[in-house]
Amino acid sequence: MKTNKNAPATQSGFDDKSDADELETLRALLLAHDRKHIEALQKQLETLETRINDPHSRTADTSEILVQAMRTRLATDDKLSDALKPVVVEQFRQTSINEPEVMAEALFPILGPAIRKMIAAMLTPDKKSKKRTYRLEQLFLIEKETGLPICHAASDSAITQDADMVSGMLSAIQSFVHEAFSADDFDGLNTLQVGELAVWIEWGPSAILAAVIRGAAPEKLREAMQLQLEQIHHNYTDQLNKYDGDSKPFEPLKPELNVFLDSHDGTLKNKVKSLPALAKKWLFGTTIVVFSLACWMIFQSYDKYRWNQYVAIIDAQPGIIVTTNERHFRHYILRGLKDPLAQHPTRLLAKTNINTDYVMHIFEPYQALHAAFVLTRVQAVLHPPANVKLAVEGTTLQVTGGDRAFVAKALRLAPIVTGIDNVSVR
Amino acid sequence: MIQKKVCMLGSFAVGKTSLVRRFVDNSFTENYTTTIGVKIDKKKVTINNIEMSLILWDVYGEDGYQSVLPAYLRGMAGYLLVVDPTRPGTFKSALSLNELVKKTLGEKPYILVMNKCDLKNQWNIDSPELKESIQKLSNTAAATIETSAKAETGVNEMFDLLAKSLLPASES
Repeated sequence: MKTNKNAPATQSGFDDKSDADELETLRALLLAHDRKHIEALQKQLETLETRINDPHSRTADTSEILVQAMRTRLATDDKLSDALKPVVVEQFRQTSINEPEVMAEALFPILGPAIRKMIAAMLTPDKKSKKRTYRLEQLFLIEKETGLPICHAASDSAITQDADMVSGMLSAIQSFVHEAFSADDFDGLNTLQVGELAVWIEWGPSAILAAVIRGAAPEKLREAMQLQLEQIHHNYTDQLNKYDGDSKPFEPLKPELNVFLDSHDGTLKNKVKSLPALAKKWLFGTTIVVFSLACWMIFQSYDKYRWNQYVAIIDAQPGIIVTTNERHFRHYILRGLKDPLAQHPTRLLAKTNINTDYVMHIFEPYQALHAAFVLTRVQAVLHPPANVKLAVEGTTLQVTGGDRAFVAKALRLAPIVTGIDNVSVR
Repeated sequence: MIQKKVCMLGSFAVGKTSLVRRFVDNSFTENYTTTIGVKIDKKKVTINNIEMSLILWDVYGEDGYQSVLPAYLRGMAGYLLVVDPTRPGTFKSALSLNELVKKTLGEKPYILVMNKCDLKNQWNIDSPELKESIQKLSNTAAATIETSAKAETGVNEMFDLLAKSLLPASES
């Protein structure tokens, strides 16, 4: 580059311009590649800014990575689950409240198979462990007054004490409870329970039947004991009355008691009884839920049906136009137009099973063009005398009879009434 | 086998429980006795070739169980009335218990058991009043016997006598 500090101003200005051009040319030559690169980067930056600022683009971008991002995060820790849980629970709760029908319909197909599967699993016999809910171990027939055992039967697996003494103890405990708690209306000790071992006692006029039970026996066992005791009293009346400590007359009774033991053994013929207590509770609870749900759905269907019926009846009424109807839990809304001369819906509602307190009627007034309504309105305006007959055909008022004055009045006033365009006088 | 409910009656610490403890055939633990005031034991005896099973109700005589005592007596065929002659007061209790039985069940056969005969030198039964009580109890008893659980004297005989008193007149 050439420079001349002593050159005149005009020449100097010319030279400056020339230098600038040269410098620019030189700059273009040296920086052309960088400029192109910067321009390209600027374009990319602008594109990115556009995508960031545009919600649609951002949504599209996020959707591409969202699923994989969630999977990756779920595999890493529970924070995503924790964050989503309250949202899901709240949404579930809201849907249950606001749209129970939707929720019920969504759950119903799942509940049925799930319950069936659970019941099937519980009913499948466990071959490894043959569980019992209870075991009837021993039966004592005890003379009521002395506490002496008349007959005793025990299962093979039962650990037995001396029947004479057990009978005595049962009698003693009974006496103790009776006297110690001064129960005047006490009609006998019915149950002794220690852990899983229970003694059920049934009382007869001369003898008591005590059953030693391990586990939870059904209440129908007690009914069976009552029947057995009644039968014993019936079959052994004389022997019981004459009992003096000799049990020989009651020897035929022992096979009967053994049969009773066998027939009421807790090894389950009905496998439902073998369900664990927790499973039983679940089954019971689920049954209640399903039953309630079924009842609720049936009621919903019925409610929907009767509401639709009511809406159809109202809609068919002359002078009423139903525009919208809404059915919510325990309240209903009916909107539309109603001619003041039309029958009020409340009177029709009373004929249905729908509670009138739960129904809100919102009707805007309008004038219906039904002939009957038009005629009523004309009559209200003209006040026809008895010898005049009025009728409406289409938009024409037919006047039969009447003097000239009335006819003139009809011709003047009738067209004012909505639905009347012409007056025909006969 | 014939079974009979019999009661052991007597004041506190006359030795009722000791009398049965070593001579019965079957017994429950004694832990529960203070709870309900009775202990059940069983003694088999054979009298005149008749086997008899005595279900012994060892009834507590303490005040706390007085209300339940009549209930425990119900159905009793006979009883052993035990006194401790070293303690004169036990005769008074025996008389009261005897009256209670009569009042509750009527006359029932009983054996008057004069226990602790191994301590006979300590017996204190010489007062006229006490002699009268003993006489009164003996007169209505089926038998009177002196026993000692410690010396194993008269215990089996006591049960035999009671069983015999319970047999029907035709058998005894």
